[in-house]
Amino acid sequence: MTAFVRVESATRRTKDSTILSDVSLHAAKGEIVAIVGPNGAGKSTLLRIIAGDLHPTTGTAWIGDVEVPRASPRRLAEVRGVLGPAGIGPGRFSVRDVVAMGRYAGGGSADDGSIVEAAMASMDVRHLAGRRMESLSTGESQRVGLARVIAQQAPALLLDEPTSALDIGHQELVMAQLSSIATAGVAVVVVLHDLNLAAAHADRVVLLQGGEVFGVGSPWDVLVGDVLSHVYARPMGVIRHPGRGCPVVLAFD
Amino acid sequence: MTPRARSIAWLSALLAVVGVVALLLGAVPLGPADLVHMVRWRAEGGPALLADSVLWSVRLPRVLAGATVGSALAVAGAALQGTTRNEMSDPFVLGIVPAAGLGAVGGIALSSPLQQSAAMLIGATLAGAVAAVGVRWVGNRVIDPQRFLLVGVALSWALVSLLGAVVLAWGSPRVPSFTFWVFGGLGGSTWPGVSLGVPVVVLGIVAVVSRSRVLDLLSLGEAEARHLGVSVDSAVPAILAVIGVIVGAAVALAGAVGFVGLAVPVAVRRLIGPSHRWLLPASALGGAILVVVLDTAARTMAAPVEIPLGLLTAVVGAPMLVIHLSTSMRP
Repeated sequence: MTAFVRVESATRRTKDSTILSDVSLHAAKGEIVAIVGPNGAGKSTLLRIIAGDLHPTTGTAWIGDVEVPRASPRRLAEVRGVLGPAGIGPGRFSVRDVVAMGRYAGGGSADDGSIVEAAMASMDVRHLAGRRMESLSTGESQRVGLARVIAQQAPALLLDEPTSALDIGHQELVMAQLSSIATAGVAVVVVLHDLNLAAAHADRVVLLQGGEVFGVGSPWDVLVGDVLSHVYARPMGVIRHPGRGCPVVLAFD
Repeated sequence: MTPRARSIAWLSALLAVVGVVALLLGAVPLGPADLVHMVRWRAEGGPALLADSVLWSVRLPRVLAGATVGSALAVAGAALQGTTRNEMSDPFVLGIVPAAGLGAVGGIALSSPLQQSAAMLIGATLAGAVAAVGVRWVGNRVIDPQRFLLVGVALSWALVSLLGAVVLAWGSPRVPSFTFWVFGGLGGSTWPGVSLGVPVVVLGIVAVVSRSRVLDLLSLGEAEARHLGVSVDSAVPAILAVIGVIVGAAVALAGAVGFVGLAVPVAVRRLIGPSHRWLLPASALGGAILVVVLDTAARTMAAPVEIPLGLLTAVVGAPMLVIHLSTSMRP
């Protein structure tokens, strides 16, 4: 598969520290790539470089034929949707209004209405369509944010902790929807703290530690007890999921 | 007709009624027949009656100025609240009004008495635009919204003090009094001022309304708006500059009228919702109605003494705001 999202030797330095050091990553259309790692490993920084929010000190990122640090916001919105960390919603706007905002860059067609409805349905927020954002729970707001990003219909999705506020049922729903979106030909790059969600749903896992890539590969290649015990500084083990056959990560005392 | 379109229609009708009533009320009591006569006199010429000249030379420019100032401040407030994601933002609170006042005084200083209206307008709009863009510059350095507003209030009063010092020290009869720069007033409304200020405000409002979709997206936050394709770094300063120009035109016409930019959008948002496509036109109408009504009260309640307009806008606007804050879910 050809890489649609590419990070080439990205390094990000601030005055007193190196947050990301010579990191490369690629994701093809049809693929979910999970970025995992402990706090401060550089996961969000890497995602923000791909999104165009941060410029790498050296190196660069591409989405399709768009070089991210040189592209206009409009051009970037055509090739990638971004969900940042959960924040406060725009109080008085309705859920439907907010999801429709996803159509700003690519919208204006007669299909906008049905795209918005489908995006709300996929994230189980259609029953909330007329509600004001300020009346939603954090998890509901997060799903509305996801629906907005999906309504954008960009060929790459960049998601920072899209399941952080969700119950286990909605976590599974969101990851399953992301799988079907990927299968439809979208490259999905997602930062996850929950290693088991990454293990169950990602095609490939990028494990970061201290701003460097510690491992890349399938969940079974990367999510290995010894590796995780080292990276998270905690005894960890991995067993096989009895139904799915994917790794299940366990922490030990 | 959708409920929002119906609200706009009602507000338009109310503004028309309020405007006509305002023309008829005052020291010389007039009736609808006088208004019809004035229109005919303007159309067909001939000798003017006293009522004709009162209506044409005194009340009409004043009512037009009031409607313009009200629209300008309310639209500026609504758009500022959108760009800063803060319902407490307002052209006075953030220092744009006193900055425009300083610009107007500067314009007077640099001009001859014959060009005074134009000079005030140019000075006030330029200073207003610089101040409004400066608001973002300060805002980017003070991320916390409450601190941002406190910085705005501090800067605003510093500018008011500076303006007061300049006005008092200069003491020229050409410069409107300090009261005008703190509490505003439409007593000096003239056709030259109105015919310059109205087009500036109308064009400015049209420009801001044309950016409604961007203002909606900015309510998600600048980062999200950028993600969705808005060129935030050029769009926001451009919107702010237009806001500054609109506010400057209002200050050149009426001095510093407070609370209109704060209270009107907050109230109108409850009526018509947050979408700027509706909020901005409805705020323009609401602001015009409020200022025309209060200015009519200002010149008739204690006649022949005129109450400074800003005193009345504060008396009405402050309780509106308190009620809103104490009954809304989240600021």
